[in-house]
Amino acid sequence: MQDPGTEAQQEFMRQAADGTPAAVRRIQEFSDDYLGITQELWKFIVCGQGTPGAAPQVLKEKFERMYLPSFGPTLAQQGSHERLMATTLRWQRASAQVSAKLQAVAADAVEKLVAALGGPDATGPPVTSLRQLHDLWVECGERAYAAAAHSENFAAAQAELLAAMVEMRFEQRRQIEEWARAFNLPTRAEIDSIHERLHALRRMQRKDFEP
Amino acid sequence: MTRLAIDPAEAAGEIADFSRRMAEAARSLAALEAPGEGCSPRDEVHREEGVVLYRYKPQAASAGLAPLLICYALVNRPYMMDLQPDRSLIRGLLARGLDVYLIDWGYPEAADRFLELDDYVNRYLGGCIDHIRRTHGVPAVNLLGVCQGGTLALCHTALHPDRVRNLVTMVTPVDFHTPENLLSKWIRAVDVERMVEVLGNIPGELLNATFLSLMPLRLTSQKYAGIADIADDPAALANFLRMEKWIFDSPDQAGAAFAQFMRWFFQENRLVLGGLTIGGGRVDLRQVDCPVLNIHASQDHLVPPSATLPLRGLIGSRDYTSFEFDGGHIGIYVSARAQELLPRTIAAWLRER
Repeated sequence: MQDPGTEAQQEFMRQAADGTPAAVRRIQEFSDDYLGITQELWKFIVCGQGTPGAAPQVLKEKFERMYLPSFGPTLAQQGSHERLMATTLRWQRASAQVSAKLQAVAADAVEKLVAALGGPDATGPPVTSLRQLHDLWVECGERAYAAAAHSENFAAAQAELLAAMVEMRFEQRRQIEEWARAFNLPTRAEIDSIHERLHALRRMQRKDFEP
Repeated sequence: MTRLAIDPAEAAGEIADFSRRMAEAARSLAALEAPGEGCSPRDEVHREEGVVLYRYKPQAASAGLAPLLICYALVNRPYMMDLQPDRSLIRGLLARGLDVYLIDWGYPEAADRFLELDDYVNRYLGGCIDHIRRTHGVPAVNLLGVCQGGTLALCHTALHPDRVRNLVTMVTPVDFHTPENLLSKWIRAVDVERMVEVLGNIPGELLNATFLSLMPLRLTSQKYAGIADIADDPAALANFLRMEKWIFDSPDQAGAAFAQFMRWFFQENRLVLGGLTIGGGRVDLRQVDCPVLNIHASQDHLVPPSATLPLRGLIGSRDYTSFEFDGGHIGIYVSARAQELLPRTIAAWLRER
């Protein structure tokens, strides 16, 4: 699905490029990348289309094609936006990885449940109520989850998700603090700095009074 | 041959019955008073910043033993020790004539993010012990460490063996690298210093989410489906509500102390492998030469027995007793069986020493 605005812009660029020299085509390619990002975001955020992780990958590729080093008077701000975008993409990729692992756990849990109900190794009394079925599902789910959760790659995927979230949060905070500083408002970094100095002072003071 | 033998008509009836019972439970829960924090009378006797020391009012003739200080974990609130009149380890100890103190670590604020393990182990815990020593004119106290509080108590005892007369550890992690320890496996891959640098204090909600994800289906879907079973039992519903309040009443963790605990204990297992230094003092468990009672729960998924039992081979004391409770990490505080068994065991062990 494509938003009407994007469609109109694309059509305009196609017509403008008809029979034009390479320089204009280059501009069109750049615009396509830009519009492509809009489309992917539209699909990913508004329409919920595509497989998990696919949209961030497409976005990443398009951003990489468009990449230019920061320059000019707003160099710092450009860098800040780029870092935030990069950390957001990292977080999306990490989320997709963990989701994929959890989907695999769910599939394994279903297999275990089917085997427990009717497989060659199925043992136990008949399941005669939905509650018993639910409890058996929980048992199978926990066994499937435990098998995955104890693995090194599951721990690595979780750690990557946490690290990506931390870095994204760091960049978000940095942007908010830049904004706050522009209005001469106190920031968390400044307050942390005061707390750290206070803590060090009190530690020194206690040491001085130690018997 | 399938085991599945659900009659559709009965299943429909079961759904209707389940819905009715859940609605009944919701009505009963709405009528209950909000649970409090602890139930036994006590006085605040000492305070340092956000940390408070309470002394419980006696409920029986004194047993003539050294005062007992309970050091709870930082990750949950200590009123689990005194949840309700018939679910209270503290009441059980008071009933046996013990003089019971409890440290409440409070809720760390943003200003506490630079608190280190040194502050908790030496300054706060040490300050509480010093207060009790002064008050009673005794050289040493009996110390009961619970869960992570047991690890802190072990560190304090190793650093200051002269201040602890007897040490009781309950569901206390010692070896953080045992194969069943899922939490440890997950934490080993985490850059904890960077996490604290960015997040500051670690939110209690993040810890809760981590604990739930150790057994996600049991601790969410199955637990709450179980409400239907107690819909017509107001006392059980009140217990449920108290437990829910306690489980999700998780203080944020002071950033620096959290990073140190994760790095030194979970990632580097220094209590076992050596190299642990807190506040400039080397923590060597061989310095723990007082009698030690180590209580663990056989079905503990947070602190498996294998994580706590190695204590025996690490301490210097020859007077070591291990006690196994048949239950889980939470059941050891609140199950009906624990109420009689644990206070009796602890009091008898202390009396003998």
